[in-house]
Amino acid sequence: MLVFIALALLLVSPQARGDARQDARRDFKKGMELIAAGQYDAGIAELEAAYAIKPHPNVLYNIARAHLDAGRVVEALQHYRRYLATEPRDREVVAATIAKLEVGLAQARQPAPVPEPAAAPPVPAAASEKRLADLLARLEDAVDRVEKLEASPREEPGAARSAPQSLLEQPGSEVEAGLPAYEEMVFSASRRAQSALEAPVATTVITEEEIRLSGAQSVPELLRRVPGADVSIMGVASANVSMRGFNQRLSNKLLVLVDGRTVYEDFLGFTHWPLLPISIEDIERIEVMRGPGSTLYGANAFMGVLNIITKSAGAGSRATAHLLAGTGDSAGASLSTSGREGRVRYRASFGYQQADKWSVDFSDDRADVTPTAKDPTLGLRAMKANMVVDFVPAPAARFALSGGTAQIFSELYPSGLLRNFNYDGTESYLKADAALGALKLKTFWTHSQATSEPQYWSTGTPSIASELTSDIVDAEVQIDSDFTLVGDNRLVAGLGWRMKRARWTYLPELALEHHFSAFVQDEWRPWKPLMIVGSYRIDRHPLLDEGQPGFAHSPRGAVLLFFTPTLVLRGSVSTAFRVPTFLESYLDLRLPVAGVDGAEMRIVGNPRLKPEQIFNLELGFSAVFDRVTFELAAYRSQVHDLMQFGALIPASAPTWNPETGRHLAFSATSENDPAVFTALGAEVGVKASPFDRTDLRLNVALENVSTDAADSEECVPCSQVPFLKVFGSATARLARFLDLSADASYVGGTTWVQSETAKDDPTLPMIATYPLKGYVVVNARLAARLLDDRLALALVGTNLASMHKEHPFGNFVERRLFLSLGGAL
Amino acid sequence: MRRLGVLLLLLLGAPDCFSPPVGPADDQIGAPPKASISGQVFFTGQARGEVIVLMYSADDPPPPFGHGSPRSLAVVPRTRLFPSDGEGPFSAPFTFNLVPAGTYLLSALLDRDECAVGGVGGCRKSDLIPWFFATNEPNAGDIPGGHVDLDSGSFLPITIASPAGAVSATPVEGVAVTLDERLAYPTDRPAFVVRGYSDSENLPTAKAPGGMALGDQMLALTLESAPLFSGAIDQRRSGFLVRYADEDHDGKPDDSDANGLPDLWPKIYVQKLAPALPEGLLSTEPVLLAAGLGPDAPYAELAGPDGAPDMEKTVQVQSLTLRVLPKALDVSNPPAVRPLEAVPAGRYGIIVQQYTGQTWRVPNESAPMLVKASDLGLPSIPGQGFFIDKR
Repeated sequence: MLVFIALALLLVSPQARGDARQDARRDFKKGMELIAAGQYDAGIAELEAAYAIKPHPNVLYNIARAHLDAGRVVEALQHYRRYLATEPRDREVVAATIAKLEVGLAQARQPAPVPEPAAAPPVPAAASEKRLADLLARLEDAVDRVEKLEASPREEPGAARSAPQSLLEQPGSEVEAGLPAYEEMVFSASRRAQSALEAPVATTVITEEEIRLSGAQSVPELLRRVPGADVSIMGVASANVSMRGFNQRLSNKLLVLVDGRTVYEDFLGFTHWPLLPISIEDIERIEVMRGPGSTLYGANAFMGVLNIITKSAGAGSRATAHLLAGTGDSAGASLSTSGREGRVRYRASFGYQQADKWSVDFSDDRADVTPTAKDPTLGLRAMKANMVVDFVPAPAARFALSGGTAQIFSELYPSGLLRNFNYDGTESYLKADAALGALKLKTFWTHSQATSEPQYWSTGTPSIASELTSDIVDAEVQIDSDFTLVGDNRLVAGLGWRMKRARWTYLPELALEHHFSAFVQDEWRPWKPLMIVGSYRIDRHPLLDEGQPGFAHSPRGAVLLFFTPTLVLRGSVSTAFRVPTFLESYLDLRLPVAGVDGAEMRIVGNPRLKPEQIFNLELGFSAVFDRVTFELAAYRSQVHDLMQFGALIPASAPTWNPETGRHLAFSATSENDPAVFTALGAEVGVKASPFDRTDLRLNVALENVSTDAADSEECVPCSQVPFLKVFGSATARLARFLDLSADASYVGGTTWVQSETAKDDPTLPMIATYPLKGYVVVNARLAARLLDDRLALALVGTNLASMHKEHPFGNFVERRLFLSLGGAL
Repeated sequence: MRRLGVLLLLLLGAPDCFSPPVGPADDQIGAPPKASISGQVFFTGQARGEVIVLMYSADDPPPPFGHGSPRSLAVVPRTRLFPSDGEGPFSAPFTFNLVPAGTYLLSALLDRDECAVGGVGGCRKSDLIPWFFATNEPNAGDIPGGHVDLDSGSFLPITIASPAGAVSATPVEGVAVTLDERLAYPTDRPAFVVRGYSDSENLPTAKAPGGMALGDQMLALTLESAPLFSGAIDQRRSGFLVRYADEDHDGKPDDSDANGLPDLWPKIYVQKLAPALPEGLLSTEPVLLAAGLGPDAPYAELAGPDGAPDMEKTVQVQSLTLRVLPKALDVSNPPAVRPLEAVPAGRYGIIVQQYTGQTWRVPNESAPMLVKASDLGLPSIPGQGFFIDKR
């Protein structure tokens, strides 16, 4: 019935709007060219079309300028005022211009030489070449201006939409401030706003529109579209994500942030995606920095940094609601509200999500194994709430307080001999930000509480359920400074402290660590086409020097050569490190040997581990054309001191443990692998818009990992990395009301190596290998936008290709269909 | 809260009544279906210690009935079995989980802690370590038991059934394992050294084989009982228990090799070792050399007053002469032992098995050349790395 209603609504729906940035950008560019050629009306129409697709303050500015050039002072004034209402950093200059225009208008009320705006010299009625040159100069000026403004708070006048603020952290795309308008901006690559083309690392941005059009239900699903991303979905709520190889259960080499706050679980060393306190609808954009990133983000930014930027307080619709239901007992709901009262802006969101597992390990009538959960088929149940309150007393000052919580029941796949676990826990945070001019302060507290145990356990065998309580307190100060010294310099520097504390059944005692850090980065532009970026960070960690406090150094250098403003060659040398997790340092876990009730194994941490180190050489090329953007990255990474739990070794006498009543059979200890691993890879990404409102994306990543170890046959990271990964997507936003999108990804075959016990004698350790065939993942979405885009009805299909596994111990990923309904006020 | 989800499902018209399919992990950790064997351990007496219950395949019984190795073990800690002082009776539960379908035998032993019941000086604590040859068998004073017929003392088989098409195997409950203090082992295991042999701390190599060479002639070796006492190895009360063998239970000594000499306990096997080093010194292959006790065995002491063999008599001696012939047997199929044309080149170890089921073997984990390499926490004991080398 709902489908019929949806179709009926489709037939009467009034107008369309879809993904916008590329379209708006094209309209904007075309408009500016027409204006440069003196075709003001046509040019202004294009700019207005661009603004209609995606509002942007600087489009207003340029419309005003065009009207002024055309001699239409009244219209120019209107648009200058609208621009001024967005509270731009150059408000005083623009206000002065408006004042002059108003005076002139009042005095003359007749055609007269237009007074010259302070910020914009009038365009002489000259040849179009002169106009074009002038336009280019203006664009460059504007770019400079925007870089200095660094995305000041703006909002569109007369609309409920207000923009987020960038003085603190990453703003949303609605304030991709600057010209050329609709340029891809990133906020995480250098911890400040900059063009994606100027980022010193390979960067991928997933926008709100892409997220919406993809129909994805989780962040890991979205990350398949990042070149070089290794996404291994274990279950509906469990995924291992890495960049450029080295993926594993409890994947620990990607630092994940939400609005700059780490959600990397330091104690286990992974990101538990369901614990994010936000729903997918709350995400404004996802920025992914591929490659080592410790120089700005410290420990664990090993293979990359992923920053999830949420919709800002006061931005977007006043209220939204999304409902979702689908096969596999899938259901979800999210609500949000956003607004402003004076100088206070707020946003609150709530979410609920549930889904059955794709597959279960055992049938429910087995006598030899017992499910530990009340509902063994439940894969995810999550309730989330998040709130942000901003106070902006002055343009150069902003204070923000945010907090959120997620209460979840989900799957969790630990490493080693353990199999899938249940995770039942809550994670909450409080965060405070302050920005006072160039000074930024940030502090947060994250508290977790959880219980966890294997989903299935041998009937009658003592439980290994555990309880975890952890806290992270972090404080950071950052200062930005622009100065001129043999060219333009942009300096970012900061200091940080982090306290980590965990009490966990598997640790012998309360574990507590204090970390300190300092970093500095300078972007030096001695010559317009050349940018040199130098970065350095030092981290003090309590265990890095043979179990004693020690330091980790993370330098990075990058050179960017701009052949044109949109054609960039980038070379970089970067480093990163990963510190041992609590699990790797302090674990002391005794497990019964399955099938031998009098035997146990012991998994032990090692506080003397050296940090994992990576040294990366990279060459990148990026180009932005009218309808195509292209990027290429080729890299060679060397990984040293890889941390792992070593092979199971037979226990030494004596073996009797009176506490457990078992004999220790064998044990494994976390250790540094003496081998050096070399990853060679290349990533190509192409985005194209062959037709208006049609987007295509194609990524190809190739990678080979080798080792200098004598027995390279046993190189675990070598066989576990797929040599080829391909992602392709197509999106068509049909003019009136329909969105069509589909994506497909292919991941090449791998062989996973696991340390196990022999089947016929579980007291004997062995190394087992599990080949995993390459697989294809296909998703599609069909959506109708109704009631002037205030309502959207979508049918989403995920994993539409054949059932497959993405890890030998993971679920059989099966096809699911969803129906979603979203509305906004 | 899940009701909210169901409500959403109904609202949006997408109810789903199907459960997720069963999709086991690639390691097939749950296949085939298994079941448990559970029951109680019963003991009456003053002895104290942990009780180890060992599960064997009925097709491969433990010594002295066969040469089987345990498939699994369960431990009943003393704190659970002995909640109080006195003689009991005591009982405590045991369980074997994840047992595949099949037929099994359960043997047991109480690993006696002499020090716990007033032992002084040289008292011995519970010392069984299941993972090493040198420590995984009962010593003097340990108490045997099992799931046995109390009249005959023979094992009672236990069957885990897995009916065709069934998802689960059928558990077996209520199994009684009894231990009898009267049957305590009289001696330690038959720990020995080969007289005149001194092993090296270095692993043997092709150039320096390090063992006693076997040529075309019979090799005569003197095995001397060795009261080993170092670290985790305590065989202070070792000795060879010699008595007539009567496996066919006809009341007369056997002569299985038809050489005219009655078969005796202990039985001695010279078995080929795996070629890999160092682990190979602890792994065997199904090839035996023809070997047996020499005519100087204490036959006279085993005779009754009438001079006839006394089948119940046991004599403890401190040395035995072993004769090893350059003939090899393929024992990969025990019912049909097959002589080999030539003795396969390689290393051979010696296994001595008492009538009590206790065994000792060299080389074992205390071999000087192995202890350093494997770091098993066992002492390095000269003479425990002996092997016969056939080149």
